[in-house]
Amino acid sequence: MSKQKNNLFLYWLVFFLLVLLLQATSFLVSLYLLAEILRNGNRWIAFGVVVFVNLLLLLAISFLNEKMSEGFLGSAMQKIRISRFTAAFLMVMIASLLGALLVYFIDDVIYPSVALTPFGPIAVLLASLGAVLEFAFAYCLFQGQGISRL
Amino acid sequence: MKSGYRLNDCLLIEAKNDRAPRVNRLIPFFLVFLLAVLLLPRLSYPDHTLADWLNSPEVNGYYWLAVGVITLFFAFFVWHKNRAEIPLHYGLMFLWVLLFTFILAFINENAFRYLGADGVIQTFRLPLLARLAYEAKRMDDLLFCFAFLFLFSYAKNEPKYKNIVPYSVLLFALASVIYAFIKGPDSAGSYLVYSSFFSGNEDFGKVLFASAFASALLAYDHLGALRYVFVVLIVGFVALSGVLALAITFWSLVLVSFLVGMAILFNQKAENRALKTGCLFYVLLIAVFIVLIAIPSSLADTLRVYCGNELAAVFSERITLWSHYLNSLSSWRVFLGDGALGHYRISLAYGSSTAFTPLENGALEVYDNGGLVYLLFYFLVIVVGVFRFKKREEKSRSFFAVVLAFSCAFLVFTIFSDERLFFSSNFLSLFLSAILLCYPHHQDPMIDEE
Repeated sequence: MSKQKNNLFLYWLVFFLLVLLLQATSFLVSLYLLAEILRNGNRWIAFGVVVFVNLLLLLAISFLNEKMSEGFLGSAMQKIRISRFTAAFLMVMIASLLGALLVYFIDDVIYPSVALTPFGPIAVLLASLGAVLEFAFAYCLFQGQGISRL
Repeated sequence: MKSGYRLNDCLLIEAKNDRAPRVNRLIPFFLVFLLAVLLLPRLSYPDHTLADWLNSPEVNGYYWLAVGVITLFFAFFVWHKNRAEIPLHYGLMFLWVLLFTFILAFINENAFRYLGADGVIQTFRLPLLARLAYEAKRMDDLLFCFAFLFLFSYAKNEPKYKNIVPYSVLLFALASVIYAFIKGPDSAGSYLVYSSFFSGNEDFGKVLFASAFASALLAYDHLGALRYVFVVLIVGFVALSGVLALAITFWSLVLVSFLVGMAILFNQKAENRALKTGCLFYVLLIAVFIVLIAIPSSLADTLRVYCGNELAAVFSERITLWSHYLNSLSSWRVFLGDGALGHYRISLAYGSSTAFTPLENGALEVYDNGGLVYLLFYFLVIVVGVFRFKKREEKSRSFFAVVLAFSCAFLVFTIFSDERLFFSSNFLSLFLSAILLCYPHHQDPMIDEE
């Protein structure tokens, strides 16, 4: 029974982390695309899709966080919550690697277009702010809700 | 009651010192050694071959790697003797960053296509030595950061020889100032430049900034007439940085003294009226000085030669450089930084030369090293470092305020120099990190005062 419960927790945890990771990635990528739009106005479709996915994932996170904060899953999550600082940092680190990969596919493989105006400064600014915000968001999320909040 | 509390505190410190291994007393000496080693490539030698060789991108990285390895061995020795338990979460965070750095070494580009002077597209390939040297410096900064946060901070429990670091910096700065007046200003350049022992006036400015900070620490640590000597030295260093046309240092120190002055003025617990009046006078003096330099007049022109021209020239030159660097970024490089190639891309794209171009900005250097992750990492490390320091100095908020003011001014300093934020292997960064995390609790002289 205990082993079954542990397996169940593991599945939920992997699912939760995956959703969180995708959300962080889509958030960083959407800010990058926004910078490109502000300078060159050429990434509206990609930006729209990424923002829509991000909103869906945020909705999923709000349900998942509630579920992971109560009952057996809530108590099992306490072990993870202790390392929330490192976990949030690791989340941003992997998200930036995945974001780089996604942006490479969008900008260099799927739809390469010559950017007329350099957008590096604004992209760096927005993406850096996004990374800090995402760290704060993930840190707060790992604290949990209700009685299981640390 | 109050003195009884302090006696207990004193006994507690004594008890801690008895338990602390003797190796912790060596840490200040090691830090002085590191400061000297970090300054070596920055000095101006009669024969330029040595300086050029030490500062060449191929050799420079290995030099830092050697310094990093020595630091690592010493840090390991300290850890072994203290039987220290490093907080697991932060230790893991460093491990992840090391892994990330390792991945980046393979992701960062090594070749760049550019339009040559003859109008033909050419390909530049990064030399292997330059790549390795860059990776060495990147790794070196992480080692320093880890050692400062977790290992060298054991020096805090060992007040003996604690002032050797500030005294060394102060003596070197005084010698530099005397030599600067003997040597006189450099002839080349569009603005007044005093470089003293150094190859450029930026390093001279860093030493003066560090010495003003050292004087502040020593003033805090000593009593009686000696304290006033150090206070006079602080004001003297501010004035000297102006007279020697070190505008970046001058304005950074003005910012520090302004912050400290305001902190004393608005501190309701400070009841010394003479001190408050002095601070009010000083803050007003700064305001008058700014007005005098801002309003066009013959006096303003003279003041700008000493306190403004260098800053204006450096800013206009470097803003172009930063703009070129940031404009060259796109696609995945925005997330992960440009690595070693970033330093060459600017000169290739805008100057058609294959020279290594330093970014001359602490935050940009960090960003180029590892993109968003490195920026976030340093931001978090600074926040953690400041909170650790605040916790250690919670009984002496004024000391905390002085160190914090210098740290804020240092962050301004990093905007115009190659100093990489905190905890890196650069001279000023190392000195401030040493004070922030390794300088022992200054409470003993306060106990004597009672």
